[in-house]
Amino acid sequence: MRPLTEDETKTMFEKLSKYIGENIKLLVDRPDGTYCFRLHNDRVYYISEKILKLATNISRDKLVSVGTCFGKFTKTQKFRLHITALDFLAPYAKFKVWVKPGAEQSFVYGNHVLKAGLGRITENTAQYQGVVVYSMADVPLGFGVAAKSTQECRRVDPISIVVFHQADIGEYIRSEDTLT
Amino acid sequence: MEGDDDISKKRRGEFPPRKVRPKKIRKESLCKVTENTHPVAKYNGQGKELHEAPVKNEVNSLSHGTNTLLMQTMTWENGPVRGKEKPALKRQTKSLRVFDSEEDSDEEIHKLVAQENAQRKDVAMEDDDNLEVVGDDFTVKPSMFWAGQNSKGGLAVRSSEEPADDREYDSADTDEILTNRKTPAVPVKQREADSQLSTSGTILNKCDAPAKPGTSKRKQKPGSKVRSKQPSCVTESTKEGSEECQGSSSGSGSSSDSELDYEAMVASCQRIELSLADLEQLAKEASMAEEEKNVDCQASDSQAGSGQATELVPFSNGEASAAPLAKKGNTPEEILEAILGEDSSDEESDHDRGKKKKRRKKSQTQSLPAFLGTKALFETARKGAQLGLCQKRNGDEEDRETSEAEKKQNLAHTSSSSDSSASECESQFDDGKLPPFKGLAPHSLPSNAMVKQTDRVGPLKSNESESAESNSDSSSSDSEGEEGEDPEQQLSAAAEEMDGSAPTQGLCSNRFEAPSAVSSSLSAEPLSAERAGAKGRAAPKGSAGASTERLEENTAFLKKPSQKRASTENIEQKQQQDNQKRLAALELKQKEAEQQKKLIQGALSMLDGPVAGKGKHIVFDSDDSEEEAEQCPVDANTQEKESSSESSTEEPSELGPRTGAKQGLRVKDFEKQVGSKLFDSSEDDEEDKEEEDDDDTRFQLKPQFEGKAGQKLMQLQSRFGTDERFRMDSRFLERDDESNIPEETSSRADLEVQLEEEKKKNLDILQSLLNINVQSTETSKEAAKRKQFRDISVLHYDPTREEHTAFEKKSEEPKKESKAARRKKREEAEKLPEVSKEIYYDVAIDLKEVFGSQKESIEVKQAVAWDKEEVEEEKEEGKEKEEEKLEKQATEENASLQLCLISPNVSTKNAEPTGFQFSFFGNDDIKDTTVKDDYKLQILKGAKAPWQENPCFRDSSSEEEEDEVKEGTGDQSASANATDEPVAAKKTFFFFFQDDVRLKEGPKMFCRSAKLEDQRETWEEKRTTLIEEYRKKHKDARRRLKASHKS
Repeated sequence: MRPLTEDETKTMFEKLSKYIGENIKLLVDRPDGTYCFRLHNDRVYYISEKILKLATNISRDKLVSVGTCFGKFTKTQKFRLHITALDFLAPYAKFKVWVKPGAEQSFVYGNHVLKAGLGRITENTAQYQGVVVYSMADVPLGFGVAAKSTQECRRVDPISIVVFHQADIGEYIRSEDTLT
Repeated sequence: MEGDDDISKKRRGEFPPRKVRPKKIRKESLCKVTENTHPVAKYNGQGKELHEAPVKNEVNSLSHGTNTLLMQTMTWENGPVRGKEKPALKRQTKSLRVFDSEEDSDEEIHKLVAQENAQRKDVAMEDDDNLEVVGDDFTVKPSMFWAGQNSKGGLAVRSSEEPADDREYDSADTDEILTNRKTPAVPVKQREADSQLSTSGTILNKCDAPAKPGTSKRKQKPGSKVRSKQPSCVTESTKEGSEECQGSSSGSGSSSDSELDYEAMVASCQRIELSLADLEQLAKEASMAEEEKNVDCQASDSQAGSGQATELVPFSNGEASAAPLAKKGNTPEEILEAILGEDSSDEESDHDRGKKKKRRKKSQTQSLPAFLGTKALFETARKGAQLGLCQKRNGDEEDRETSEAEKKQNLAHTSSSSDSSASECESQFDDGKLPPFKGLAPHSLPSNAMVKQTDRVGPLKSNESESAESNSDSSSSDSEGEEGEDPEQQLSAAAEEMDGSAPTQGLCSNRFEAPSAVSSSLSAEPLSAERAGAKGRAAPKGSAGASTERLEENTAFLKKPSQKRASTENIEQKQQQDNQKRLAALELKQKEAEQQKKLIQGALSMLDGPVAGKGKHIVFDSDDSEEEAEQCPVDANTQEKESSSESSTEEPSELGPRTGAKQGLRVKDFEKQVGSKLFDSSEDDEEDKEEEDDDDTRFQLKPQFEGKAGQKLMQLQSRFGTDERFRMDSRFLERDDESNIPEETSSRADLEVQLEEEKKKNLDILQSLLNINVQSTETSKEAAKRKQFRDISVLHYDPTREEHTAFEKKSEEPKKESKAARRKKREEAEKLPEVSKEIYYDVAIDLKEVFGSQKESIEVKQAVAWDKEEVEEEKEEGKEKEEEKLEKQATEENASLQLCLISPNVSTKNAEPTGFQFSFFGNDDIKDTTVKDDYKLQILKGAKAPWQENPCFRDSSSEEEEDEVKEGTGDQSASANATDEPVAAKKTFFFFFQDDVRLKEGPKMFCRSAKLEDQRETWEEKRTTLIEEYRKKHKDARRRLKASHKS
């Protein structure tokens, strides 16, 4: 477990900023305590200072997970967000997409969101903007990337993809073994 | 729109050929019949058309000139086509072919395509309508997180919000709904399912209509096909369940519009809450009064029972209709009534009762797994309730059974009463009542389940046997014995439970009254005397009777011998005596254990609060018993000792010596017994006293054992034990540990610093990444500052400390600079007008023309001039003071520069009064200006003075002005007066308005604009020059005078 290097931090922040923009600052500089990012087994964990201190007592090879896993660095040193970060992304998300009840299941099974399943969308969503996907009951279901801008979404036919799937809460079951 | 126009044109162009249409329509209608083999499709098409009202309207609007009927047929014809087109392309091609086959023109196809496009657009439009675009400020509901899902209120609101979507969803796939209903654990889906419960009418009706109220009952029945709708309700009481089910069933039963149903459901849900409150109230009441509790528990139990009974009815009997029973289970009162009614019906008909009891038994046994939680809660009370029930039943039975029971009782009585020693033994027990019922304890102790079983089995058996007996009164003695036993067992169980549950003996005694009453009714002997505590002969009788009963129960072999007792009385007596002794010993032992328990409980409760009336009660009760036990030995020593030695418990061994040695101290002991017994009282009383004194010191915090060093010391101390000689006090504390603490803190601080740095770094990266100003670094710094916040009021200036130099005033440096810097500044200020001179000539010409030609324009210019003048005034405010002094000197023939400095002041000073005058006539400016035409020239001249600063205007009449200036003070004053008027003319409004210049200027006059010293300096400088000039002028004047005189 070590702090992130500058490059890593940059990569991760770039990714995070796609979803929550400058709200990252709220994650880094929290009023309720010191929180930090730590890299462990190529995974980035968001840990409070208290937990961090406690975690120092555990040897590195024995430590499976600490704090909240935000995602992991791929072999090509790209950062991939995990669904576990949803709890921290959802409240700060700038652009949101709500899926209709009928499309919830499809999304939660790992599929993209089609126009037909799009119930609501934040205005001025740009193309390839990171969005957090909610159900119509405002339950965060995951996050994705907007395949079309809001204006385009109005026009496209129902079977076209509007949000590319990135992560969904179904992963908690589907990839239970890899999520930490 | 153009395309639309084209299309419309085309469509319009079609109108003439449309006359040929009827033929086509006929054809098409034929085709329709042939092609649209599915009437459903046709229907769909119509439906679609209905849905797509706008399209139709469009077409209608297009057909404004034509036959409406024809158009209708058109639309009708198009309807199916459209309906076919939309779902699949095949059909479209088909329909196209249809038209092709009709050898229709391209126009037709075009039209179709256009229609399709329109339709698609329409679809898209519809989707757009569905698609909601929200702003950034759209706030997700607070319950967006998982926890909030469960709240029912939010649920209701939400599902009511999106009925359209739900409807879509429902109609989409019904299987999903079913699956949803089967997996209600997922909150979202459950909600959907809930909303769908009503919306998907057919499915639900399928599910619910056949579902009898019994199955819809909340009780989770493993065999039932339809799962309970809300598993969360399992925790709720049956009342809720039944009510809810009623509500839901009514909702589904109506199968009306979805929303209405849903609202109904919601309404029913709200009723649930009410019922919950009711339940709580009931629970409170139950806790308030024991009896009520019993009743309630009865109700709840029987509720469960009745609930399941209704379930079972269709399967088992089919006699009673499920509906009325379900209704019964609505409110606790009703249930109670039902139960009571059942009981009464029990009395009425044995046959029915038998069945119902079977049912009840079943229900009780079945309810075991489902009601574990509530059972755990109300176990004791419920048992009491059960017992109460049993008692009731028994009471009924007793009337019939009394004869047999009495027979048996009498038998037992005679056997026991004849045995005097046994009765004496019994009498020795401190509590006359307790032991007899306690005696059963070993028998009924094994397990509560056993007790329950007996509870249940007992009445049943008795009923069965009774039913058998009703036919033939004479029955075997064994069955009688059983019958006799059953109530007894229950009673004893009740007694035991009361002992366990209710620590206060007052309650127990109350409890015991009922059994004793029963027993009295059984034995037909007054036990009240015994209850009163009198140990007359009645008591032994009663107790002995009870004990013998118990003997019968406990020792099976004794039963038959007791019947044969007449022959082998002597042997038996001994046996019985021994047995009784043994039993007594056992009882005593158990009682001791229980008393100890009670004592501990009481002591614990006393610990919590010194008031603890409860605990005291327990203590005194036990003391009472002991007092009796103590008094007994005083009266009759030997036997008691024997029994106590036999019992071989701790207490008697303790009591023995005490009673023997310190009888005088008994009163004192009485008080102390609580404490001594609590800890098994291994110490003597004197020690106790000492220890009590020690206790204060013993339990005090020892400061030397505090902290880490203290821990070390503590370990050392523990090695030595409690030896007085090696007592570790604060002298042995090691002080060097303090050095460790700073290290730790420093390491912590290091970590924090590291984290802080990391955070900073992160924020920097963030800043560079997002190009936003992340101010959190500052905030963190501020936070750090806040941490070190010091109260300024506490702060004292300490000249010896270097830090405090910040509080010292540094006043020397500015003074040094002042002379040079200020002079420079002044010079610069003076130079400014000089620079402006260069522009002078260019502007002057134009201005002259302007002034000469138009007066209004002049005024405008003047206004401009005045404004600029103002600006300049502001610049040179610093010199106002000096100028005032200069004014007083009234030597106005100085250099033009100085004059120009003065004149604005004059103007400003006089501005207010002049403005004041002018504003009265401010409404007609033009008149004034015309009137003052004559003065205008002068005014212009006079106005030159202020303009001098301004390059543009100053030059215009600089020559004249200079002349004027040279003319002398009198002219100057006149000019000043003249200037006033135009200046005033600009101030059109007398009253002050917002941002009024006068308001700004006014206060400045009262303030010293420059420092006094500076002014003095400048003044001194000027004075010299003035004096020189004055002298010069004076000389000149003298010369002139002389010259004049000469001339």
